[in-house]
Amino acid sequence: MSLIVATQEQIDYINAANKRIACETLALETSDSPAWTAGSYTVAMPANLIRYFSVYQGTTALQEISAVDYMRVRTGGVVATTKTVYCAIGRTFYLYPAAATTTTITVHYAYRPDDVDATSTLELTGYAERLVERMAGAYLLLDDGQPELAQSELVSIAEDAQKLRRRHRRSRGHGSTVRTNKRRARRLI
Amino acid sequence: MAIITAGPVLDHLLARLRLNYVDDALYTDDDVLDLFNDAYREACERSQCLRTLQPLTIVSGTREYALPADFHEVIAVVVAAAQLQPIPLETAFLSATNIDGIVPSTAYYINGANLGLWPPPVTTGATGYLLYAATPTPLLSFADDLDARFSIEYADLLVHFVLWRTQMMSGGAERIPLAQFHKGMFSSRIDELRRSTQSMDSTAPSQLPHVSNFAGAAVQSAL
Repeated sequence: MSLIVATQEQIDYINAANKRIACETLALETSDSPAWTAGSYTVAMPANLIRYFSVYQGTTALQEISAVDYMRVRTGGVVATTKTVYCAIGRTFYLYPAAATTTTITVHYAYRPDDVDATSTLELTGYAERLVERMAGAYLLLDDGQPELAQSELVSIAEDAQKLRRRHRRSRGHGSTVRTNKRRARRLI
Repeated sequence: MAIITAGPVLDHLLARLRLNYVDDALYTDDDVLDLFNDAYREACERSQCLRTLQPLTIVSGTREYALPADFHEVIAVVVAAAQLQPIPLETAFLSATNIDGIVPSTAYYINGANLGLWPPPVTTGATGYLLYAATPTPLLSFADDLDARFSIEYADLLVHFVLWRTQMMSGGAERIPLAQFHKGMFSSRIDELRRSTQSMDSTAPSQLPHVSNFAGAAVQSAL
């Protein structure tokens, strides 16, 4: 649905609410394939990434390890796996071992929508779009000196966003048995 | 007619505060910017959202290494595949020499703007890493961008901090509930930011139990 706004203030409220709901619901998903330069251990995350779900090299899922494990591996620890491992620190993926040749990795992630303007159509649709409207309304209540009402609405929105996030995960197959089996099948092939 | 586009985040937050009874006769824009900086710094430090990995090049006999200028807090230190444990400064100084002359460093301490290794390293060329939480660069104007590692979705916590502080500075017992509300919102948003930062907790048990301390093992076998 297109926005119906007349002022800078309204756009800014909707812009803030739109980004926050996208962050709380993780409803907008995409993939990107940033370059991984030969000899390099790092790849910058896409600028609009909010949360990553998985990192692949070709059809192989890379194994995520903790930052401490990564530091141990990089400083002489021996890792008994032929897989590439990675961890995320700040806005950077740290990988091991370094790329032998310049290649790409594929990152599947939830993204932050672009700034909106008066001609925009929200990327969030349906229930999530209504949460954006409610969130902007809650900010307005807060700034209108009605914190009790705003707090009640913010709590309610957080609960609804959480439900939407879980429903979205299920509908996209995150963590499902079928997906696991598919992964196993790929490995066998 | 020009299309209205979203403005800078901090500008929007300032506008919200002006709507929300933060009177510009009492608090100038500079005052609000100072409060934003207080909130921004507190949020970054408490949430440890500005995480940085810094390599360390170990030099034999050199105990202390300069910490980065934006250093706030150690998250982890690893040297030659071993994670070092923190010890108090006085403990490090009680036993300042490497008694056995070959024992790899097992602990670290903070001495002012330096990171110290204990016992002092006896080999040169070993690699290490410092994972630390940084403190943010101060905001100089409302047109500034927040650090890319600070998710913009949490910028509203700056508003809650300013409202909390201005309520308290205004005085009057009737303001306590509202001040507490904003203080609570500020804290809970920091907690959420902290949780969103930790994709995998650095203090969690190792995901790779088969990672061995290769360098340490070599030293042990030399003994």
